[in-house]
Amino acid sequence: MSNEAAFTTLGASARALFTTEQLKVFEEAFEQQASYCRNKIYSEEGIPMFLVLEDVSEPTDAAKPLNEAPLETAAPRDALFDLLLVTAIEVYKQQLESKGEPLQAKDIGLLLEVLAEHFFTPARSPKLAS
Amino acid sequence: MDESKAILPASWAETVRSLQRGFLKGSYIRVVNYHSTPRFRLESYERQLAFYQQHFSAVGEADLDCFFDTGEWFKDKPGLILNFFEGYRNNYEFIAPLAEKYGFVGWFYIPTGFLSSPVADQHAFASTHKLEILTNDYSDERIAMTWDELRELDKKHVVASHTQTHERLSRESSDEALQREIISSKHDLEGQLGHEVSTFCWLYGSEVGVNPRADRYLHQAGYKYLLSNFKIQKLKNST
Repeated sequence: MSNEAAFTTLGASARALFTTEQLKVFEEAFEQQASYCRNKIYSEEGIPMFLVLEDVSEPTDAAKPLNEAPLETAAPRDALFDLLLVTAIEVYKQQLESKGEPLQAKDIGLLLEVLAEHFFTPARSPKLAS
Repeated sequence: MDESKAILPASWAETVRSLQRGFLKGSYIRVVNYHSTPRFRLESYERQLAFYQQHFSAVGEADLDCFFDTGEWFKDKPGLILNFFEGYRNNYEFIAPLAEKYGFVGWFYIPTGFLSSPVADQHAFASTHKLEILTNDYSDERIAMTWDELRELDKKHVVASHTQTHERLSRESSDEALQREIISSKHDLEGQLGHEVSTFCWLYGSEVGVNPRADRYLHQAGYKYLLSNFKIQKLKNST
């Protein structure tokens, strides 16, 4: 199975686990977090993001199939978290695509911001969320 | 960074796929992007940094070099980069000491023309070069950090080029503009700091491949890393 097909299957499988009502809950949760992110003052507040580390000094590296690429991590390896992150991106990617609106770089930015805001900021800790 | 005007290297779906491949390999890092850091937000910044200290470790250029060289991360906690854009005076005075208090390395992205701008002209420079000042902490006119202050930061943090005049570079940009923003900005910093500057970030954060002419200037300048909206890329000419 190609990477492309594997990702699509991953997202489709994840979505197939849930009812339409449950997916609606996820969509609302995403929109709530997205709304919080959109309302941040970018020129003064810290904006968390995930950035991919890519070595383009070797011309073929970026094009390597996933299963041939070496495992690399800028964190103590947390494969489960990586899988959850990729799955969440896939589910929300398909959700955005299903709306049929033209998608732009800022939509990717928002998607990553929402996940970063949720997964590694003090907002997750109620005492620090004020 | 502002993604609204960024150009993607491929279709929207393909760009997301490329990022997913990176995430699935674990080849990613956490960053927090800051611009102006006014005094009245210090309490909030301190809460964030105290939280980050518990969960993440600082990342300097040597850590990034090591990761790209070995494919491994040698610290106990995941890495977190604090990015500070534009060279604001309040970065130096307010948040840099906090970053140090909590053991983090800041990456300061400097449009060199802002720092070189005479104090009396800095507000005009900011307003005509897309540098946003919502809250001004100062009664005098200086809003950029000084070169002496940047040299002070350079002892503990990373200094990177963010062009010379904060001008957007496009496929239609003149060679003169590309030379000025990509190469001359590096020379400005290196002349002031006395050592090589390895990292570059342009406005709106497109990645390598989107603007091949600009890429050639990055190569000619000898940058090692390009920070874009969704990636940090180790560049071809790096050793």
